[in-house]
Amino acid sequence: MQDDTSPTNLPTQGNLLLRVLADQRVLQVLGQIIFVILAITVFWVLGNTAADQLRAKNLVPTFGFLELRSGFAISESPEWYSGESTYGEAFIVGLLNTLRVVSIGLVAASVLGLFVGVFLLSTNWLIRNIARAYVELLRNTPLLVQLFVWYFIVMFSFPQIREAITFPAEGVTFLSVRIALWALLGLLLWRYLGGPSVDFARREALRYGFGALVLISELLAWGHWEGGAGWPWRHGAGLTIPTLAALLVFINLFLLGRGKLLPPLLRPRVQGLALGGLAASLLYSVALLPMASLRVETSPAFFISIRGFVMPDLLATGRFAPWFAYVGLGLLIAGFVWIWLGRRTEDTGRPYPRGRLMLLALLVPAALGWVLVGLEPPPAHVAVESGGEVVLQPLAEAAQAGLLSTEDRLRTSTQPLLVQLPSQNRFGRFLTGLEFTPEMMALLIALIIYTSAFIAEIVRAGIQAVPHGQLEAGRALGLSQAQLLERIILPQALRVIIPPLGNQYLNLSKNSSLAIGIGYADMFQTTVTIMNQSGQSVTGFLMVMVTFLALSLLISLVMNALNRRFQLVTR
Amino acid sequence: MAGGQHPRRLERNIAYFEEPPERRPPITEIGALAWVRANLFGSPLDTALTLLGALFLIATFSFLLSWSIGAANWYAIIFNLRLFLVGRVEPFMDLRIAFLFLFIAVLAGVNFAAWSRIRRRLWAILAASLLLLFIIPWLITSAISLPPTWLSAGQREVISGSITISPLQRVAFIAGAGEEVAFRLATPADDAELARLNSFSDGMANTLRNAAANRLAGERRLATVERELAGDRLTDRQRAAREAELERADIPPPVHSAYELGAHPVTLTLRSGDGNAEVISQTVLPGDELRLTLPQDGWYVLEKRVPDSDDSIALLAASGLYPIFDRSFIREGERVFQYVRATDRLLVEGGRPRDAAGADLPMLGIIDHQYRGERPPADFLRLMLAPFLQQLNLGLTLFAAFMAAGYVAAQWLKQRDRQLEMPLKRVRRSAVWLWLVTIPLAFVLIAGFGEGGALRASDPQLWGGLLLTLVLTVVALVVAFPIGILLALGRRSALPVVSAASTLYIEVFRGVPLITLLFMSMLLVQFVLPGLGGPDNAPYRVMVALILFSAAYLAEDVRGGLQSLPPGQAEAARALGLPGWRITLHVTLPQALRAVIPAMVGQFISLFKDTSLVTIVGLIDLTGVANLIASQTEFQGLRRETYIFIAIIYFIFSSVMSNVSRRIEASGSGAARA
Repeated sequence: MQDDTSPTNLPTQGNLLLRVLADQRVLQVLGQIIFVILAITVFWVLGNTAADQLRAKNLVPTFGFLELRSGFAISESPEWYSGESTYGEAFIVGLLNTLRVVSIGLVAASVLGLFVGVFLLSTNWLIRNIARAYVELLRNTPLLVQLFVWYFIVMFSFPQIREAITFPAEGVTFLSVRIALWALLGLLLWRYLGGPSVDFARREALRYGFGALVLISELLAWGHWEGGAGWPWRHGAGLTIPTLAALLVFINLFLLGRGKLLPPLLRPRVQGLALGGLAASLLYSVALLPMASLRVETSPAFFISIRGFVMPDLLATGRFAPWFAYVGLGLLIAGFVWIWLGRRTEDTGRPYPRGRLMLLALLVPAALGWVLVGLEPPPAHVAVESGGEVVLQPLAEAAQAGLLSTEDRLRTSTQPLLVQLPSQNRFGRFLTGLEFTPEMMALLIALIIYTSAFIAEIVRAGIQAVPHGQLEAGRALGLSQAQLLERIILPQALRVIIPPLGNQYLNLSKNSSLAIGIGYADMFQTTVTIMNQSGQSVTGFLMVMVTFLALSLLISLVMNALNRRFQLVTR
Repeated sequence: MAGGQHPRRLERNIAYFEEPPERRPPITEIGALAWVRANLFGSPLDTALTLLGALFLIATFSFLLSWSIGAANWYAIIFNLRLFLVGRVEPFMDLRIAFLFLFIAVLAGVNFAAWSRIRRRLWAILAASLLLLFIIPWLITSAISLPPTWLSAGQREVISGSITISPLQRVAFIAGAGEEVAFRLATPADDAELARLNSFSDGMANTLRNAAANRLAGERRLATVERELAGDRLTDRQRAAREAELERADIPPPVHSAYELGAHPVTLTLRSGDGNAEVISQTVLPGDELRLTLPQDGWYVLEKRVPDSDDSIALLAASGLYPIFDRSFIREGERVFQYVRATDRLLVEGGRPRDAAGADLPMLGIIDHQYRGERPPADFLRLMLAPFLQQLNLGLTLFAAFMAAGYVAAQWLKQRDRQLEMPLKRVRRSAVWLWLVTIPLAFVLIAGFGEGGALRASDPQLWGGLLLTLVLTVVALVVAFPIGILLALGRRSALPVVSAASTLYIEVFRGVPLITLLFMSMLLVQFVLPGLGGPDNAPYRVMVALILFSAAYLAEDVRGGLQSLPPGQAEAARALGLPGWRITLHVTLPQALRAVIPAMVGQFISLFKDTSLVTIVGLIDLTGVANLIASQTEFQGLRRETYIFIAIIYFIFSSVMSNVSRRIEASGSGAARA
């Protein structure tokens, strides 16, 4: 196997042919020639058989069929695709669907995996073990079974579209003025507690007291509104809590010698809780809480039903392009700031708030652009269809009458971006909004959750690979937890994490082809349909394989570049 | 706080010296409480996380438990266990598979003896759990009686929603000689009681129950709407919708009084199935009970009428009559009809009663007489758990017994050969060889050959369930193993053509999803190798794809092992004058293979899981069986039960394997020797 061609071990006498044959270099070339001949023969024989068979069935592979009419509809397709489109276009629709699932899946699986990985190392026993069970359960059952569970069980257990689960639920809520009160009180408390002079007991008592005040007040108010006027809440739970709280305070503070019953760490907290509860009940009994409310009508923005998931759509209006120019400018400035400050730090050794300044450089032009773009007035009139004929109407009137189509709104909006809430026709079909079919939801959720289990293990191993002394040294330098994570742990953990992470990304992209098990029109499923219709299976598989290899190559390239960026630079 | 007391104590101590009394550490710093504090409630965030986690666990488990006790139809598993394990293989395969199963048990015992020791306590636990497997079902069956079957009688149609149903006049059932049946007329006091009706019930009893439940739900909805309208939390649109709903609402009269449930006596006539000989004919009054002992095994026909009234419906609680599963199959060229009682597997073959016109009489089939309503825990134990354990206990006990036999035999061998230099090594070596022998043996046992005899060929199309999953996994891995080694050596070869070809193969097969290869094998392999065409050979075609696929992955594992070897090994061998192929065969490869055992076990696990993909190309492996059962008429759509069951099987196999792999890794026997 090894390169072993020292000329000294050649026989120097005897037949020339034998001598030549004994030369390792000759042997190697001969071996390769024989290998190639063998390979070609095998492929020739197999290929010939296949070609004969295919010819007999009139299925000679070509690419010409891509121009033919596909004749099948795809449930997840852009507007330009219909049954009249070609096979080639159908393939592209499938490819786009695959890319959509893979790109969302990669990001979401990484985030979820990061969280679970951190949970795997949590000091909290319960959380650590839940994370462990999550990982083991997901890694030890087949993805296909998980996919079936998500699709046939979870997705099918959602209600019919008319009874869709909505968020926020349609109805009336009462936004309380209390929220402002809490915010103000909380802010004051936070400023006060931030000072160095506050001792532990007082700080804890205030924190817990404030928490109890807000929580119990909100609970009481909620009970009051849910039950309506005259509900027994007022006389039942509404009075039980203050009584209990008062009793607790009384026992603790006066009967049992200033709270000695409780361990010292718990004492101020319990006192705080009791006092907070008492304050809440007092507020409640003077009927201050429920009245200070504002009536707000909510309409649903997110729908989950057996037909999938629908969410508000973000649309780019006619003014998006000019605004985006400002954003581009912001990006340029931000990039410049980033590089320049990096250089300054290297030159002077002084730290700069690089991230914050960069964000500012990005946000200011974007915000400015938003305002400037909105300054130009919209057209005063708009052509709308009314009673079968097109008439020109003032914009405000048409908008009020609900006559504007989506296109009209996009054309006339003064904002660069428009949030479009989902709206249904009377059969429950969604006219607007971003729709995810149950197939896509199931595939996405299954891929994300399955891959996240593997990523979690990788993240755990990566973080554990950072020597403990590094953390201690970082702490000794006085770094905060966030700085520790950003400057010490992540750079070293990423070095270990990135190579196997790339493997998981490859797996996710390949696993997306399981879509065929539940009928999501990804690239492979579309190609199988095309192959079944056209009989061009050889070409079809060739296309699928080449596409997957290209996708794998792309992911590998990106991950290799990232890897190079994070590897130790040894000089 | 504490600072105030300290100086005072000092003052006191000036007067005389006293050893401070020994105090126990605070209870919050030691023992379970300290552990809880440190591990669950360390900080406010920790506390919140713990509470959230606990809430999540409680919610999940209480939901799962209440569902699996109260609602899940585990008959889908119990009556399909064979399908799950071996698929639809021919009956003559049973003996062969049982032999293989026990052989593997012996082998497992030998391996235990070779690699680890089973401690006495483990033996005791094993024996106790097996004993429990026998005792628990026995206890359940003797302590808990079977629930009644609800049957309806009368001439009137019952309407619930869009469903209209009339009672069956006659119903056929199977029973054994000497069994007692009893009939009691049920008189529900109100609709709430009717809606709580559970246990097996015929279509009409169920419709009555649904009608009552719907009426109650309608009443509750009406009350909710009225309360909502009285409140101020509705938008105008919702208010209009609620008002319209209130307008439309139409609450029917109470069900139990509308149908005069239990108001009139019922006349019951019981005939035995063959020759329609009458066993008994008697009228049951409300509050009475009719009991009788059946004379013989086989079919019976129950005729029930309410003679007094045309408007009345009667509900009968019948004990001793239980639903029947019916199935038919071809045995020696003839179609056989079998009827199995759901509760105890009493089996009757053929002889289904017919009416005068020659048509089958309606029978107490499981489809129309399912368990309806929320199931109490007692019924779960009696109807689901006990039969399930009863099916498992014999197999598991035999497995354990043969495993113990293998263990004892191997231990004995170890003892006998004690004077040899390395007895343990000999046992280990023979254990490995036994596995190597078992794999072809197993394949011969499963596939068989020839036309007749005990080892006649089985139809690969009928392989299924866990058997197919394991066959595919093991065959793919075993055949792919040498190919993978060749590819790994090829990729490291100094010959550029060989290296390039191997690399190309490995990268292409690793870059393409398995499902693509499976489809390709189903569609294209028959063109390349016409011998593998046809539906019979589907498992073999799939094997081709699995082999090609795992060879690429194994090659990378082996390559990793080869790369991990210190180059000194090969150099030393070369210095000794070994030719290249002997260096590979005797020096580098054995060490490399030992180093990659954990990686290969990992490959085995992932292949084991990946074989589930063959479901998509139409094979009926474990996952395929789960889907197949959900399409049986008796168990239509019961995917939850079947998926949970197969997930548990996959989980057990995978986690046992990964446990083994972790042990190998930890013991260091996988590592290359330095």
